[in-house]
Amino acid sequence: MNVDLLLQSPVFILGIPLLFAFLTPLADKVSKELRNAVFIIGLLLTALFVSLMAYEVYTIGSWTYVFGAEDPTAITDVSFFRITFLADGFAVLATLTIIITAVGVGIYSFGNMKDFDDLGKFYTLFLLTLAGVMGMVLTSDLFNLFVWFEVTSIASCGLIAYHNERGESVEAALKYMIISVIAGLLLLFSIGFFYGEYGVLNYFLIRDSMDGAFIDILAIGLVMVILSMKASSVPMHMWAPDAYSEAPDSITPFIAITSLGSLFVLFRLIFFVFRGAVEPSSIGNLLIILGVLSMFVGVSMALKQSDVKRLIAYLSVSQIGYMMMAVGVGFATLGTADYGAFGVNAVEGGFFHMINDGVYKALLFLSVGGIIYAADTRDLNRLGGLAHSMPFTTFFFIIGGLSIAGIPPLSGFSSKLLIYKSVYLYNPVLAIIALVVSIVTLALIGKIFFNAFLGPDQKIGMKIPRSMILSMGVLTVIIVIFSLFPNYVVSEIIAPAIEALGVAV
Amino acid sequence: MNVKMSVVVRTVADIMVVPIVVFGIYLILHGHLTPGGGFQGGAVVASSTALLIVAHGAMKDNKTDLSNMESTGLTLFFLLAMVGLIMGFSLFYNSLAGTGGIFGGTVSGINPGYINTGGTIPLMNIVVGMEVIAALSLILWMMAKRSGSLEVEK
Repeated sequence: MNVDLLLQSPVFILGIPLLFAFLTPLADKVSKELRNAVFIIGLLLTALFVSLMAYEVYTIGSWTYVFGAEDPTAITDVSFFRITFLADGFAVLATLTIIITAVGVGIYSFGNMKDFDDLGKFYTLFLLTLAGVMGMVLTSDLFNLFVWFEVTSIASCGLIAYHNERGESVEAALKYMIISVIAGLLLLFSIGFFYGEYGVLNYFLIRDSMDGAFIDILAIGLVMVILSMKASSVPMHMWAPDAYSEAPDSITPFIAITSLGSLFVLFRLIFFVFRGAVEPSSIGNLLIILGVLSMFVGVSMALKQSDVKRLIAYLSVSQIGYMMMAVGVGFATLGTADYGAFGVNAVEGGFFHMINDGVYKALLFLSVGGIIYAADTRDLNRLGGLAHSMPFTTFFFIIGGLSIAGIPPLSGFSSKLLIYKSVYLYNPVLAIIALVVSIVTLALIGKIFFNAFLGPDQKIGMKIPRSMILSMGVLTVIIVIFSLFPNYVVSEIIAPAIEALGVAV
Repeated sequence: MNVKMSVVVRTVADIMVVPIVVFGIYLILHGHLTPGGGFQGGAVVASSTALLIVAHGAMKDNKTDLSNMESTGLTLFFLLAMVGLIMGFSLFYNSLAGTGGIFGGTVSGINPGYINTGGTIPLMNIVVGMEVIAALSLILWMMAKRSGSLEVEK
């Protein structure tokens, strides 16, 4: 009995990072070059299987992968009691977002981390985090979700504490660990509610048997709070600026990607599993409130920062708000005529913003990492004149910065325009808040640009390694592609994702 | 700093290590037949490390060997999981079960506990045992070293 290799791709997306995570410390004992080679081969193979899965989903359609079955793609009733993975348009959107950032960050790490020793463990943790996030977005089993949630938390906690000679890093990691453990245990608690009530853990079976009893609402509320906490939404954002700014420069975008992964899981659960059992407007309005709070508080807290990495960290919190607000508007209008009129566009805009955000946030964090590498300070008041010595990094920062602010030709604009237009029809105030936050974001990007790059050459810049330039270049190319063909991205990647969640018009 | 225990303790510890290790290996090898398995057996074997560290207060610097053993165990575990995948089934599929050979035998009814059964499960127990022995010993080693109750011989 032979199963098509393409249909096995979901498990390879998970398996390759796990296998290579355990291989890197062994390769590290042989030589540094071999370790780097093993690491990058692992990343690229994962990327290959992500694209194979995407190809298969777009040509054949979605399928369920059953672990431990003789034929993993044939679904029977019994197989629902096993661990299952769901490969569909939404999983493709999520895995694509994650893998683009992961490859960029991976290449960047070669140059950025080359002065540190014991990197075998660093790459192991990196690949374990990748496996954890991939598992989170691919799984269709609640208990399995908890397992991958914990894998991600533990591995990324190790990454945040990597510079353990600095007290701040250890503090940030401790904070992250406490938040993650609380979140993980509460997630297990809420999964217990579902299991106790229905005796099943599979997304499909829970969706079919859910009746919207009080205990369901309680469990759904818990799950939503936990996943928004991990997605660094205000008011549960306190861990994010610390963790983002104290993690090694090359890893920060990857920690941000784990937040985005939690957001993907949240959207998968509310649309795919909980949709039938709840009043759409209640969850929708909760998401809108969390989103508006994140947008506004995130950007206001960014105003007073002088640490450049912390500033970007707060901006990233505020970007999470856009996605939550847009998807919240979409969810609130579910089942009404408004959904067809503008709700679906709001969801499209939210999802498009997620993939955009993954890429431009990575580019911003990485170019800021370049500044810190070259000038050895993060204080905006001490930086200056770097454009003279770092023309490439300056260019990449401009691309990323204009994209996060939503300036017309760039990809951030396309997704934000979709959000503004649709959210305006739901409630004009929301669109106005979103616009104001965008303007403040632009001002903040201008502040970093003027402080760090413009001005007389202070001769503090030192050459940054070529691999850092290369990775930022790759991310810039992806942003440019998204900017040039936004309609294509929406129709080819976002629309199948919405269809997979069962809410296409 | 002299952290050695008395000669009685050291002698008894040296003697007790043998049955502890044997019992741990028994648990690992019989994981698919009786309660126990790779993790439990590995933890039992690693407890002998704790005994030796407490009794002798000194140990050779074998951190690298332990961490190599850990990575090898994990890699082998995953490769075993992928055997099912390569044979055309799913990940973790027990493709060796019932094929004959050293771990491929079948059992039926009440039996005295044939160890050469279970397909990939006993093999996975062995590599998990290897990983757990190495990892827990490493943790004990590091904790003892940091707390100053262990002298490391180069």
